[in-house]
Amino acid sequence: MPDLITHIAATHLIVKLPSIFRDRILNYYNNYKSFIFLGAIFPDLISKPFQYISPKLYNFSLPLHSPFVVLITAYILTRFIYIQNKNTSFYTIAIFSIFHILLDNLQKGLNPGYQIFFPFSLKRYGLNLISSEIYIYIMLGLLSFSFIVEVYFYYRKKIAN
Amino acid sequence: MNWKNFTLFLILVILFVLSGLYNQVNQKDITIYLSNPEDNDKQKISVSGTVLKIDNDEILLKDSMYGKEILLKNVYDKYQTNQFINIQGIFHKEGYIEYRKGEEIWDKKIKLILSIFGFLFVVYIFITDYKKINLFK
Repeated sequence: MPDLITHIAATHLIVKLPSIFRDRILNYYNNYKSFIFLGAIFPDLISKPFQYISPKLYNFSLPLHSPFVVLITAYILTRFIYIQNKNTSFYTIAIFSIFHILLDNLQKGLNPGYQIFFPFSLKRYGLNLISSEIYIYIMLGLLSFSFIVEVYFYYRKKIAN
Repeated sequence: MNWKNFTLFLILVILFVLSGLYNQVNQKDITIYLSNPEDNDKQKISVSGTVLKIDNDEILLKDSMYGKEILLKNVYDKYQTNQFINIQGIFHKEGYIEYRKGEEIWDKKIKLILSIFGFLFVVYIFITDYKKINLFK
């Protein structure tokens, strides 16, 4: 599992980079950024607290990180809390939560990954592509790139004004 | 909160409890192996925990979930006491695990600290964006 900073930086980049070329995406980012970043941390937000309450709850918390539970939770949550439109709020959290789960599954190691197909299968799947030794460099790279993109937008706005 | 919201909230709680319990019951953790050693003899097992004691190729490991002390045998990789490790091995009915492969989880604390900063960042974004958010409307 990458840390939340990696998830936030990766999510920031996949929305902010295309918004350099499309104003519509930039408007979407400006309107929904709180839900975009909520989606980026959402699977961990609903599952990890159980592990911090007690390590014995590890198996209890595992399915809460699966797309099935995450999507239903996001749907119900956006009936209470939303920005402008309930469905757009749901799709925002859903898409970036799935992106979070995908990023988690890239990590290499003995940890067998997450239960992607819960409740249909309890088997844990992982793509085993990125080792934990290099992930810290990936995090620093993503963070630096995110910073550069934000600086670009800052100067673009300044020049426009 | 109206009845519709209350029902949705109740569905959410039931979903969490049922899916969590369903997985808890169906997953094999260390207690299952230790309580039925005969039935689980020579079965594959994954455990993570802290290295308590090292004696040649044997390691005493404190399991991270239940705090059980488990003996690992034939450990050919080099570890140090107090390291947090994740291992895979073969469980034996005598109550020890024959080590197959393992890795040190060196970045557990770093990830936790970074994650706290990440969480605080999202809270900050929510606070700055609070006017856009509709709550229970």
